[in-house]
Amino acid sequence: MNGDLEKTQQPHTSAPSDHAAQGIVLGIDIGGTFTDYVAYDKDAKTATAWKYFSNAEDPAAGIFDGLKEYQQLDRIVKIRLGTTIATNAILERNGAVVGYIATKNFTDIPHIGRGDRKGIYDAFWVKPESLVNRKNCFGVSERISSEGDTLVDLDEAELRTIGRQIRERGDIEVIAVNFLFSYISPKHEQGAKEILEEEVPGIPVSISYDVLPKWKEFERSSTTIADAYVKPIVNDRLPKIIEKIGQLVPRADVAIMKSNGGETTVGLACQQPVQLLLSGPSGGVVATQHVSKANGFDRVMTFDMGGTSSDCAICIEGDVNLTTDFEVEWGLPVQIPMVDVRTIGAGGGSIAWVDNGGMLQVGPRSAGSMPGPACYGRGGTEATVTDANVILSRIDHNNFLGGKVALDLEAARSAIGVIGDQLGLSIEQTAKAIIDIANNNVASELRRMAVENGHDPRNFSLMGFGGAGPVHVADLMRLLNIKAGTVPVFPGQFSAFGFTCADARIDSQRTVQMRSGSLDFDRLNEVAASLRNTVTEEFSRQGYASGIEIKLYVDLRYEGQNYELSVPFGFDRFDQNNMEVLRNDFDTEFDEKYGFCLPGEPIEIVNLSVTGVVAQPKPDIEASLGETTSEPKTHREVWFEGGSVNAPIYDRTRLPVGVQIHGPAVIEEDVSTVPINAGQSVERQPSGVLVIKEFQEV
Amino acid sequence: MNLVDMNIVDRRLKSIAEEMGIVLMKTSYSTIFNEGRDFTCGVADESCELLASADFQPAQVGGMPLVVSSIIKEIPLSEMDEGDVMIHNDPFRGGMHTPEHTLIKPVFFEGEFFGFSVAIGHIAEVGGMVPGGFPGEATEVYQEGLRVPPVKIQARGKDVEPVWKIMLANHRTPRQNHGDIRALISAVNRGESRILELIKEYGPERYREICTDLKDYAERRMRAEITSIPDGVYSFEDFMEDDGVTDQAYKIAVDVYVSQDKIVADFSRTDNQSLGPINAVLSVAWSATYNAILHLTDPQIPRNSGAFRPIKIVAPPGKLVNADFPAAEVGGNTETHIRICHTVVGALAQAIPERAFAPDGGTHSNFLFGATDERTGNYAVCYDFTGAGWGGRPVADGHNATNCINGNSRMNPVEVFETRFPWRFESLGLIPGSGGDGEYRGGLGVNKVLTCLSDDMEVSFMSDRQKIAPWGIGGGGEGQNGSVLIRRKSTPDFVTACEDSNKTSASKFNRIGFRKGDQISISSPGGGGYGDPQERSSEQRAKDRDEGWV
Amino acid sequence: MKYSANGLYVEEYRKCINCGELVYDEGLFFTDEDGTRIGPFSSAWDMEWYKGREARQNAKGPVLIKDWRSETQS
Repeated sequence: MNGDLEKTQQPHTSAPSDHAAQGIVLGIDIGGTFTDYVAYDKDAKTATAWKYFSNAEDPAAGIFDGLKEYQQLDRIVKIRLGTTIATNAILERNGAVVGYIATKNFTDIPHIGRGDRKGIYDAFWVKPESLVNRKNCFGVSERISSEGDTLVDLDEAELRTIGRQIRERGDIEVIAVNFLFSYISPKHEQGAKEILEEEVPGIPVSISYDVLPKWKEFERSSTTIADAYVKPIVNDRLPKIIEKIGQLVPRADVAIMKSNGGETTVGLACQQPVQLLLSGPSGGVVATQHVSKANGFDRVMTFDMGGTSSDCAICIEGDVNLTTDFEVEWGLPVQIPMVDVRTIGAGGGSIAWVDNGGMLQVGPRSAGSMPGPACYGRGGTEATVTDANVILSRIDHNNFLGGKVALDLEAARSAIGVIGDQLGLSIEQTAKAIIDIANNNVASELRRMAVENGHDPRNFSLMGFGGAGPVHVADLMRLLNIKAGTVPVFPGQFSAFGFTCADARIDSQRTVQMRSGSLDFDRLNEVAASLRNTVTEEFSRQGYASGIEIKLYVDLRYEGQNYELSVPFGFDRFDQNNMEVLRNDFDTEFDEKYGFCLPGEPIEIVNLSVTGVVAQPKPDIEASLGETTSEPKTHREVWFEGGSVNAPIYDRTRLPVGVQIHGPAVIEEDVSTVPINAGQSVERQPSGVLVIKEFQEV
Repeated sequence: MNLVDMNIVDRRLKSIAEEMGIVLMKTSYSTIFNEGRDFTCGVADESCELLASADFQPAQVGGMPLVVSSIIKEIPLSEMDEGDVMIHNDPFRGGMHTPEHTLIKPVFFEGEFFGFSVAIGHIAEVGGMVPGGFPGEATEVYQEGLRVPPVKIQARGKDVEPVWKIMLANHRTPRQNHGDIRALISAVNRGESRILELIKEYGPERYREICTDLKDYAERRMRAEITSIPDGVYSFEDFMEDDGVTDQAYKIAVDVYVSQDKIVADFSRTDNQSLGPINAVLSVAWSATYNAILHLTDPQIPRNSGAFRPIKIVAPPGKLVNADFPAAEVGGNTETHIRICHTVVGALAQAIPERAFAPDGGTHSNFLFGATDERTGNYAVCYDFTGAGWGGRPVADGHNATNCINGNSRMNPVEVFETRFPWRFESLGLIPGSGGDGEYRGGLGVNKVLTCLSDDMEVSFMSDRQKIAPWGIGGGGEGQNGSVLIRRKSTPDFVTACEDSNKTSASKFNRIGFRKGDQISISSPGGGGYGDPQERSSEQRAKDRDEGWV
Repeated sequence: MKYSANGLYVEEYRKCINCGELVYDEGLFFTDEDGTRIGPFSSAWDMEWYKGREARQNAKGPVLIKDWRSETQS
C-alpha cells in the first residue's frame, strides 16, 4: 500500500550549513482553501509572500502550480512545509484500518476512555468514536508490574497466532501496540514489534513506548493509535508532494514542520506522523517566537482569527509554550509535546442570532468559507462578524484583500438588518453589538488560556494575525486590560513566515514517577541519559552532528496533586544537592503561579522531559521603506466605541518608522486592516511590526 | 435593559466561575478533585441567588443556591467582614452530603456587599466509620464523618486556627485535606478579585441592574421551554433496591405538574426515609430535579437562579428525598440523586418523548478502601468509582462506561491506580450485551477484577442497581444489573458480600477485610434502551454483532 | 430552626411540612376541622398546595397552578 515507505525513510544527508549563507528559504503552509508561501531572501534581507489556491484533490499539483508563480525558484535552498494531511485524516476519518494489540484483558481501554463527557446537561451529545474498531483489538498474554517487574512473560506463540490472523484477514493496514507499564519496561513492546514485523511483513507497527513513553494507558493508547491511523496516508501522500517540489526546486533541502514547531526530515515525519498534527499552526507560534525575540516582547498572547475559528497561543520570553494535553477531538488525546495552540469557535464567519430569550448571540455556528459571510455574495444570508465589520467600515468593502475581492455591502446590510429588527436596533448599532459580543467571547477564551497556564493576561501583549486578527486587536486589548498590541508583518501568511524561522527541534518525555522520600537517582540518571541519547540520535539521523543544545526539565508536583510544573534542571546528574536546588525552584515557581507554596511538603517527580534544538539562521527583515508619509491616504466614516467618526485611513506600507499615529484611525494593508481606538496610538517599528499602545488611561 | 452588556456580563461571570475551577483543579491534592473534578464554583448575588456556575459537577450546581442561602441564615451579613471565608458541610442545614464542603467568601466593593464567590468540593475522607467516606451500613449521620455547621475558616484573611485544628483532627488524611481546603480557599479568593474587577468596570449600580436582568432572562428562557411542554400531570416511580441495613426497596415517586410556564415536582408519594445511608437531603432533591429539567431543556440557558424560578419542588420532611436529622445520608447525593433525576425524566418523558432519554446505569459503584501499602509503609485511603452505561436517546445509542448523570468525573487509569494503591488489575473491559435493547441501545457497563496486595485491606461499597434494572423508554429494553463479587484466595468462586461476609446488602457494605491474593470483581450496570427494538436498523444490528457490543 | 438559647447548637430542625424547606422564623400554620394546628409552612402557596392534595387527585385534566413567586416575594 505504500511502496515508497522504504525510500522515504532514508535520512537527509545534506549538511545544514549548505544553506546558511545565502539563497532563499521558503515556507509553505498548505491550508484548506489557500496555500501560503513566504520566501525569505537572505542576501537581500527581504521577504515575499503570496497565496495560491490549494488543490484538495491533488495537493501535490496545487503546490506545484503555486510554486511556479515564483520567479526565483533556482535560488531556493531550503523549503519548510506545513501539512494538514495527518489532521485531516483523523477529522475526516479516512485514515487506515488499525489493528490494536494490548495486554490481554485490557483491550477495551480505547473504547472505555476516561468516563467523562464534553459538557454537562446536553443529553444528545454523541461521543466521538475511537479510531480503532473493537473487532480489531487483540489481547496477548504479558504483564509488567507498576514497579517494572515481569509478572507474565510475553507469550510469543500467542502473538504469532494474532499476527497470522491479521495477515490472513488482510484488512488491517497498520498495527498499534500498547502494553501496561511499557513506559517503565519496554521490552515486551519491543519484542512484540520484532515478532510482528516477521509475521506481518510490510505492515507498519507503532509501539506506545516509541510514540509516548508516559503513564496513563488510555492517553497512551489513543496517541499510539492516532500515529498508526495516519501513517499509511502520510507515507502515501507526503513523498508525492516532496517529489513534485523536487521537480521544480531540485537544489532545495525540504523539511517538514512538526507539531512542536521544529523541522524534521521527510523520512522521520513518515516514521512518526503523529508528530504532524499541528504542523501548520505551529508556524504561527514559531513566527511569534521570532518576532517577540526580535522586538523584545517578553510575554505575548497570540490571536489568529480566520473564517471559522481562531487560534490562540502564549509565548513567554521567546519560548514556545508546549502542551501534552492536546485532543484532536474531544476524547481523542494525543499527548506528545506540541505547541499549545487553542482553537476557539469564533471567526469572521461566526453567525449572529437572537435566542428565544431575546438575547443576541454570536456563534458557535459559522458560515465558514462556503457560503461565507453575506457580504461575500456567495449566497450567505446570515449575519456574521465580517458583515458587522464591513457595516461599521472597519473593513473597507471597496478594498478587501487589496481590492481583489469586491464585497457586497447591501447583502451585509440586509443580513444585519434582520437581526436588528428583532432587537429593535439600527443596522449600525446591531453591527456594533455583534462585534462587542464576538470580542468578549474571544477575550474570555484568551483569559482562560492565560489562567490555565497560571498567568494574568494583563501582563501580556497581544499579537493579532490571520485575516481577521488585526481587525480586533485594539478592541481586545481594552477588554483584557492589555497595554500593548502588535500586528506583525505578513499577518495573512504568518504560519508560512514562521516556517522560515524554524529550528530543528525534538521534544521527548518519559514518566519516572517517584516520591521525594524515596528517590532512585540511578534510575533518574539512566532515564535522563536515554532521553538525551534519543535526541542526539534523532538529530544525527536528520544530519546534525554539532550545534545541538539540549535542555532537561523535571515535571514536579506536590505529592497527590494531578498537574505538574515543568522545572528546568541545569545539572548533568541527579543527586541530593541538585535535588534541593530543583525543589526550591519548584516552590518558587508554584508560588508565582498559584499564590502559595508548601515548602517541606513531599513532592513527586512525574516525568523527565528533554528539549533538543539545533538553531537555524533567522530572517532579519529590514522594513523596506520606499516613499513614506505620515499623512492619511484618505478619510472615511468608521464606527468606534461611542459612534461614527470621520477617521483617517493610513496605508501600512507607507507609514514612516517611529511616528505615532493616534486613534481613532485605521491602518490598511492588502490582507488586513487595523482599526485603532481613541486613546490608542500605533507606531511602525524598524522591523515593520505595528505596535499599538494605550496613551491615555481609559 | 442592554442585551449586549447582558451577554457580555453573563459570559464574564461564567468565566470567573471557570477560572475558580481551574485554580482548584491545578492546586488541589486528592484525585477526586483534580482528576475526578468533583467540585463546582459559582458566583452568587447579595440575595444569595446564583448568578453563574461552571459546568463541573451537576450534583452540586443545583444545590448551590440552597446551601449559600442557608449559610447566611446562620451567619448574618452584619457579622461578615471583608476577607472572611465561611465553610460548611452540614447536610441538615442546607448541605448536600457530609463530604461536600461549601466555601463562600463575601464580596465587598467599597464597603458595600455584593454577594459571594462560592466553591463546593468533595472532600472524600472526613472521618466516620469507614476510610474514604460512604459507610454503606451507617444508620445515623454521626457515623458518616465530621459535620461542620456554617463557620468562618478565615476571618479578615487570617486562618481561624481552632476550626482547622478541629476539622483536621477528625479526618484520616489531614495532609491531603489541608491541601484541598487551601485549594478551595484560593478558588474563592480568585473569584472575589475577579468579581470586584467586574463591578469596578461596570459600576455598582449597572452591575446590579445587569445581574437582575440576567436572572430574569434565564427565567424567561426557562418559562419558554416549559411552555412548550404539554400541560398535565405526569407521574413516575422507581426504587432504590435496599439501604445497606435492611433488605427493603424504597420507592421514589414523583408527580410532575406542568401548568403553562411552571413546573411543580411533588415527591409526596415517595417512601419514608430509610434506616441506611441512601437518604437524600433537600438540596439533593432540588439539585436532582433541576438536573433532570436542565437535561430536558436547552443546554444554552444560563445556569443562574432565574432558570430555577419556574420550578417548585415539594419534598415533604421525613421522606427518602428529604430525610430528617439525624438520618444517615451519605449515599443520597451520589446514588439517590441519580434515581430522583431519572424518575423526573421518566415522568416528563410521557409529555416530551422526543426530548427524553433512558436512564443510565444509576450507580457510581463507589469503591472505598484503606490499607497499608507495603511498598511504602504508608496507609493509603481511596475513593474509586466506575462509569456505567448511559441510556439510549432519540438521536443515538447511550455512552459506554460513563460517569452517571450527577457527575462528570474521570476514572482512575490502571497505571496510576496500581502505582498508588496496593491492588493489581486482572482485567478491565466493557460488558457486551449489558445495554438495554432498543431502536437506540443503552450503553455498556464495565467489569474490573482486582487482586489485593495488602494484608490489612478494608473494603467498603456504596452502590445500587444489582436487583432492579435501569428501565427502557418507548419499548426499549432494560439495562443489565451490576454486581460486586468477592473471591478469597483459597476458594474457586466469586460470591456476593452477603455470602462472603454475611452482609445484608450485596451493593452497600462496610469494612470487609481482604488479604493478599483475595479478589474483587466490580461490574457496573448498562443503560436502558430507547424505542422499540424492532425499529433498530439492520446496519446497526450488524455493527453491534461485528463490534461485539451485544 | 430552633437554636439553643446560647446559639451554639440546634435544638430542633423545623421544616415546612409541604415543601420541606427549613423554616427559620415562626412559619405559617392553619387549624383543621378537628382543631389541630397544622404547620409550619414556609409560604401561603405551600399551605394551599398541602390543603389541595385531595382535590388535585380527584381532578380531571390539567391542574392550573398558581405562581408561588409573587406570594413568597411579598
